[in-house]
Amino acid sequence: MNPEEYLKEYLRPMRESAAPDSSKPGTAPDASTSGSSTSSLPHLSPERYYSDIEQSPYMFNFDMDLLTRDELLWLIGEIGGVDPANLKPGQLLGRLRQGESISNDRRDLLVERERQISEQASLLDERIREIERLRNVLQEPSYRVYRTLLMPLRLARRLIRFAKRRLLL
Amino acid sequence: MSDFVDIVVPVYGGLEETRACLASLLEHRQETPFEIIVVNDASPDVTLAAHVEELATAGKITLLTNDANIGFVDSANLGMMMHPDRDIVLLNSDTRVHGDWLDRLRRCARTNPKTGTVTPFSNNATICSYPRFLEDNPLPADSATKGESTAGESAGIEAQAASALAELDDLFAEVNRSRSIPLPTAIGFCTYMTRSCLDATGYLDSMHFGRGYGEENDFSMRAAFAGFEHRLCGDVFVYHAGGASFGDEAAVASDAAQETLRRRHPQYEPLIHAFFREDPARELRRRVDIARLTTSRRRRIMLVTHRLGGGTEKFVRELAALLEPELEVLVMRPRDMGCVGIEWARTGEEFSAFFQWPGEYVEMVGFLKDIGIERLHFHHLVEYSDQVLRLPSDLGVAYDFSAHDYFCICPLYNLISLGGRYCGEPDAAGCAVCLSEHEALAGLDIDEWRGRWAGLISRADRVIVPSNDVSERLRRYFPEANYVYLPHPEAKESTDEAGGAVRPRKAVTGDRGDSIKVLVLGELSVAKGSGLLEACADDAAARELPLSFHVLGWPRERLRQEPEIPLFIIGPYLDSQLDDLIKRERADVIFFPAQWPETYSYTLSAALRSGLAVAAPRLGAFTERLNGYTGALLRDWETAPADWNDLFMSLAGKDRGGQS
Repeated sequence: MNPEEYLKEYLRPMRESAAPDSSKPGTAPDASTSGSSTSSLPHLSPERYYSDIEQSPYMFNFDMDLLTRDELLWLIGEIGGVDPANLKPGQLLGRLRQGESISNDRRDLLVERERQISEQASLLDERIREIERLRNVLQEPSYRVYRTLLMPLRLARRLIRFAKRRLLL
Repeated sequence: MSDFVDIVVPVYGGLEETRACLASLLEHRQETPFEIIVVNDASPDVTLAAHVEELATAGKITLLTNDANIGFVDSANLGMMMHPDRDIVLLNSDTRVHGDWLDRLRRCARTNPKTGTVTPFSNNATICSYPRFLEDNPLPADSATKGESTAGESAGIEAQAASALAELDDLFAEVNRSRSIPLPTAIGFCTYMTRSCLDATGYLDSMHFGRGYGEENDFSMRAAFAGFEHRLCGDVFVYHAGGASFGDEAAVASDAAQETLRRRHPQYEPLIHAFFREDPARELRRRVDIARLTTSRRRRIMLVTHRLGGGTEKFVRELAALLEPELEVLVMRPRDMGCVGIEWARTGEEFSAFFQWPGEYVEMVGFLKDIGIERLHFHHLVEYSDQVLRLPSDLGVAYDFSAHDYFCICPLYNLISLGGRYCGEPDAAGCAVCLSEHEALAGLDIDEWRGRWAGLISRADRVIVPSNDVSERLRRYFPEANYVYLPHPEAKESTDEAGGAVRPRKAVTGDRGDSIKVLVLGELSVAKGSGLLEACADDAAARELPLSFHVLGWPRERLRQEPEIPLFIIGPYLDSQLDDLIKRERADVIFFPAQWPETYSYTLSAALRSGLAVAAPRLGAFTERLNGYTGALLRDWETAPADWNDLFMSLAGKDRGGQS
């Protein structure tokens, strides 16, 4: 179908329906006032929306030796399911790296975190096995399944092991 | 310290840009008292010189005229030295400002006494660029114009450009009011410099950066050493055409400046690279992105799809491009680590939002409501949880559904059984047997699977199908749906002068004796017939037939090849290359060994455009799309490899036309 015809047909339902009420948030402003004011903008919390993948912790370095403290922090919080901000493990790990001693209660927290991570690792292992089975069934190309499904999980598992090494006291 | 701000504009070339720049400075009233100091660096353009003379005579600007060309940096310094108690804005002559831009810049500069420089956002300002970071962007297309105007363009275009800039700058002023972030360096197209910083740092270094480029970076490093900070002013946007001030010398000057910077300030590049990585201006850009989406004059739609590429991805991208003049199009895809990503599919935009799925589903719905999504179009739902089925009702919008495969009928979305062939769509009991052969799917209730989809499909405004075969197949399972036949939008297929399909090219046996070259297109999976193709090549080898099979594409599975069997893998291609590559292969026939009911097949479109004979199974979209094509060679989908080969052999020495 030629693109012009397609476009005409595709847009038909939208053209036949009225544009939404412009008094509601998120709708097109009146042409006569657009550009002159944005005071009717809906409430937005853009901070929620700017965590692009490029900036997010998901793009951490794959080389274990180059894992930064922040990456490790994120990993612990993300996989352990606890907000790292509350745990403040960065301070602990920083001290650990410098060979400083830590108090018993902090040590208990880290041991508990290691336990949580081990549990998570078991779940991930199970999910990886399921996906590997599914890959064979769906006849998907292995690289694609690997890249989109397995790699993140395997990476997480490797990182968990790494974190465990760091956290085992 | 004076309240006045000097706006220093060195000028040399670029008459129209300079006119527009000065006009914009004069047009907008500011609370801040300011003086425009134009430094004519011995411009060879008599019209430009006359224009600035005229403005000076009218008392609108202060004009300094160099007797000889001394370069941008010295000219700038001359202007900045004129009133040694004033803050400065150093402004390129190919910029345009809007509104109370100067008041906002000054407000930012005076927030902290340690602020040395302030740079606004611009379309072309490297780390201060918008919409795309580090890019030379045209003004966003939702604005009334695209890019800069040049001499000879109509006044209407000029007005549109001004309007576009006004809209964008107003948005920056509104959504980023009083927001700023630290910068590693000022960017020189428009730099507010505080007098205290100039006093502590000195002027621009004309000895090392005399022709421009890098002088503001050098200044910034020196200022930082003196204890001053540099800031990106989030609530000002200044248009910058770019390159006009220096013309062809730009690249040479830029390279030289970089080398000098490296030598003089070894810390400069690490600082800049850290800023690249962290991109702290992202939040400020995102605020504007969201405001633009929300206030766009175009209506908004979101396409929901997978991330696995192939024909679905191609269609979604092409549809988004086709809709671009009419609608704001968002595309939602699953992303790594349990996220979904929502991308603004407009050319030149950068915006993406990410939500944990389904943990942040409620926030995502809120975001989509804020944006004003009016309609959804589902393309594929693999990797989503059932929550995605609620999206239309939670958003309160109508939606379309497109079938690119048969995932809604069976998780084995190509309807391929374990043997690698079309399953024939058995009854529920047959499906149960088939599913039980797949370890991961054993126990799955096929009726329940289809039931999950039934509501979504039956309530769709339209179920858009690219071939009638798809609607016939889906209707068996979802009879209530409103099926709408819309073949994919593509450039017109080849036709002869009479308007009919192109006849296949004449046999080329003279070139290759009796050899028949069979071409196969695209990514070759089991469903696409890799097994059948290999079997055909096997049969050709066993019977010593003069047949050779060439895959213009790539197989997903490992296939045996020449010299074992007459099968050649040519490799991947870009879509834009396909037509030429097909011609270059000089094949005798294009073969589609597909074992599943294709819903459309983009590669079939390329085959039709080639005018060659096309052999394909009577299955899926092939039957109707090849109907009427002179070179169609349709056979039953269960045709044996040897019979396909006999068909190819029958073409030897013949004009390979005629439907059979």
